Amino acid sequence: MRQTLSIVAVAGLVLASVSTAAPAAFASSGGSGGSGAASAASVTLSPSAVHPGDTVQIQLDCSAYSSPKPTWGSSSEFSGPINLQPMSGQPGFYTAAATVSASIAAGSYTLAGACAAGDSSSSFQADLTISASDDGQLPQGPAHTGVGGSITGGDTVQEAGGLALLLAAGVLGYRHRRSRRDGS
Amino acid sequence: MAAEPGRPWRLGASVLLVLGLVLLGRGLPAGPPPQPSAADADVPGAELADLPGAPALPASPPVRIRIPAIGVDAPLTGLGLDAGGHLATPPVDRPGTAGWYSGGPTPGAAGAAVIAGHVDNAHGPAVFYGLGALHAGDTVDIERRDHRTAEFTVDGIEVYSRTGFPSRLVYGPTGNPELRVITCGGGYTRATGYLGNVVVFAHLTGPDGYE
Repeated sequence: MRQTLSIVAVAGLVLASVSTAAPAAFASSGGSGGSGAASAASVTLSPSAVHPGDTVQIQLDCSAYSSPKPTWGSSSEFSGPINLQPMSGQPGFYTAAATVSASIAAGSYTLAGACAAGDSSSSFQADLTISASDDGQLPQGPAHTGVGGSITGGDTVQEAGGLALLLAAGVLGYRHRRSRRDGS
Repeated sequence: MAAEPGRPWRLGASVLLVLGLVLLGRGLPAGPPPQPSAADADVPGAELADLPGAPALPASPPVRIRIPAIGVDAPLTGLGLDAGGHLATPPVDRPGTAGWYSGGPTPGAAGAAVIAGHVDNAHGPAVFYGLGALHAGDTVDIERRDHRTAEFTVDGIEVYSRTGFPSRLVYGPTGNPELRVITCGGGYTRATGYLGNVVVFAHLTGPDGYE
């Protein structure tokens, strides 16, 4: 019985750990990748021209610094604080989705920060252009609204975990039948 | 009976079996998204755009989209244009969020309001995975900041290739209040990604409940 319980517990742990391991993938952008060079920090805003109330995806490359602690200069352009999250599998990269303030005036805004507090060589900046909502400009061409993950994606960690559990179930069942046969 | 030695093993094996199947099911890819049937696609452009319906509402930003036929109930964020003038898309790490083009008309106001969402991200289906399964006559409800719900009725679902995308028909001005809902589709190859877009054309048929 104790053995069974421990197997069940391990199975639960496997399930719990793979459930949390599903971060978003991100196309790597062309930041300056020099290691240790001055001003190797870079930030990418997508898109960089928006209207009030739009969402901007921020991607920060601090990979040139050994243990970066990124700071964001000002967040008054946005409706809430900038919550930079480390990107899993890409050490030194951070990402955040920020909503541009609905009441901001049209114009060009410079966003700045640093990868390491107190180290001016680690500073970064990018321009965000905000135009009035009613500028009448029409979008052009197709929209890029998918990458194919529903077809090719799948989660190999979950697939492998699932197969491992099925295999373990099979082994248990087999041993159970054998032990019963031997016992009778 | 109570002393049957096989019981714990059987329990353990059953638990492992169930957990394994659940995990495997979650891990497998969902498969290609549904594409519109011929009856709903290939409608002449003139029959899709500028259709009379309910009178236009005053402008108010949308906050939520609901498409009961395919189980969509999602928050909306504002979208701008990228450097090439293409419609930006909602953040890929929020696959459950759709977006609206905030440079155009708000849904329910006169003109063609544009809503876009991902069909999938790298991990699997996203908010508009099922969009291609809609049919003419289905409804799309847009909840707005003024607490009115703009109710649209689908006129057609088209698939356009990347190279043959009719920007003017999809995004161009209309006198009547209309809606376009866009996602990726039209086939997929590993080399090129999705080959086109699924575009739903709809027109306003009612403000559903004044609050």
